[in-house]
Amino acid sequence: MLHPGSDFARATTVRTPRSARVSGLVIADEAPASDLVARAKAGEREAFDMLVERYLSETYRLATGIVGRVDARDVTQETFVAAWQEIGRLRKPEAFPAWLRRICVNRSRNWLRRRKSRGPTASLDMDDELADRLPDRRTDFRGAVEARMVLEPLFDQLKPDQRLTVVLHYGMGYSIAETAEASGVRTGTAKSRLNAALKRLRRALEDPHETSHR
Amino acid sequence: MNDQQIRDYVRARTDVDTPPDLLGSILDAVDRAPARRSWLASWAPIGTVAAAMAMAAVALVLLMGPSRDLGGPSPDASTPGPTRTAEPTGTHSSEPPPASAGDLIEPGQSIQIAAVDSVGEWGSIRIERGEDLGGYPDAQIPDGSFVIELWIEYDAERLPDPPTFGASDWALRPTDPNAERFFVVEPQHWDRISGSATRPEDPLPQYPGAIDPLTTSTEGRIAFAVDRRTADLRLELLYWPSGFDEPAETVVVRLPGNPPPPVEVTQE
Repeated sequence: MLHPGSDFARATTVRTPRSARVSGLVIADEAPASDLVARAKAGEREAFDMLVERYLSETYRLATGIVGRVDARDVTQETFVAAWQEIGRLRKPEAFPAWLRRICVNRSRNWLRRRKSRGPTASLDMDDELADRLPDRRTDFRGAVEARMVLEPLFDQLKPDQRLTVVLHYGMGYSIAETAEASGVRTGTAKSRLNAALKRLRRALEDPHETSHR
Repeated sequence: MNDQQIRDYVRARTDVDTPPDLLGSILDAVDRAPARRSWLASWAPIGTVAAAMAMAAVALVLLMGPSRDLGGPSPDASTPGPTRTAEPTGTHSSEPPPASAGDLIEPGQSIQIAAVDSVGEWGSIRIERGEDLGGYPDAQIPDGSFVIELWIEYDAERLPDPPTFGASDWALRPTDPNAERFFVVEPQHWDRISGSATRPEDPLPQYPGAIDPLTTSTEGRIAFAVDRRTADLRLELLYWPSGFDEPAETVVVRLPGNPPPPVEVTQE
């Protein structure tokens, strides 16, 4: 299922000097994704470049939601490199969006685990703009800042699987079934992970001091 | 604060613009990325040594007779010895059972079996008998060996638990557990070096390590380097999933008979 406004549903309009090397890009951007995937499977690099351009925004948003902005660039890059190396094995071209999402989730999960083994980052996501993007900031600026201050440290402490489940469902708007598919688990498992994450976040919201004790 | 604020916070985390230079960086990285074949080729020297060691181990087992080490599936597919030995079990049978309709004796024969894990059936596996080969003209195989090839295709209905499957699921051994020369051969390392120009098909991959078995085909060739002195034994293929104490399925793949003549390496 594609979501309204999803970048998987419409081509991105990002243009960089590098993308100009793809001849006929504007016209080709309108090509069905499955056609591009079939061509990329056959080894056509230009077709794959167009897929990168088409799915870049969605993939970067997903990676940012899970690992944060500092690491999202690397995760996104790893995702597309892996996709290029493995696209020959993709059985159904129409499954490409879900397949790519799954790669991104797996790479993000690995990144979180590696980061955990290295210890916490100095400033979480180092994202000072996040509070500005929280909704209703004009009418509830204090609440928005408070939410960020309380939620961000706690979000960073969620287990990787809980964290990516929350991002897939609430951040990206995927259904539970799609969230489960992207996570490689059954629907029931995705639900239980979501509930566990929410329960933990709610508990912290009720008692903000709990965060500092963990 | 409430659930709505949690949802707003998570949504805000994903509300980001793509850095303008990221597309170029990714396309450059894809340019630099090695092809899958290159990755396989990088294993060739290691695989050659490992395969040679495998044959040495097989030969040792043949000379020493049955071992007391009951072979079980290796917990770590990246480090197992290519050959494991097993202690004879069951009753002695001087007359091997006849080949059944489910056997894979002739090249081109195929069967389908259930892919199983600790929970139950998670998909199906199609196995097709390949050829017996005396070697490859462009890949060195261990002296005194011949090759038994099979083609494996997994069709996953769900992810197995644990999500470990592929090349490490398979092994070869004599059907008679009381055979004087009892051994088990695994294909992992040998499998990689046989990805040669004369055999362009991909070797069977191993999960985890690859991606998304639900949407990506999991298929490939497995090749066993078998000591020529075992050609008089009836050999069976073992489907031995991770976590199982015994094979989940056995299929006869070779009856006693002369192995194919050796093939000299003429292209490197």
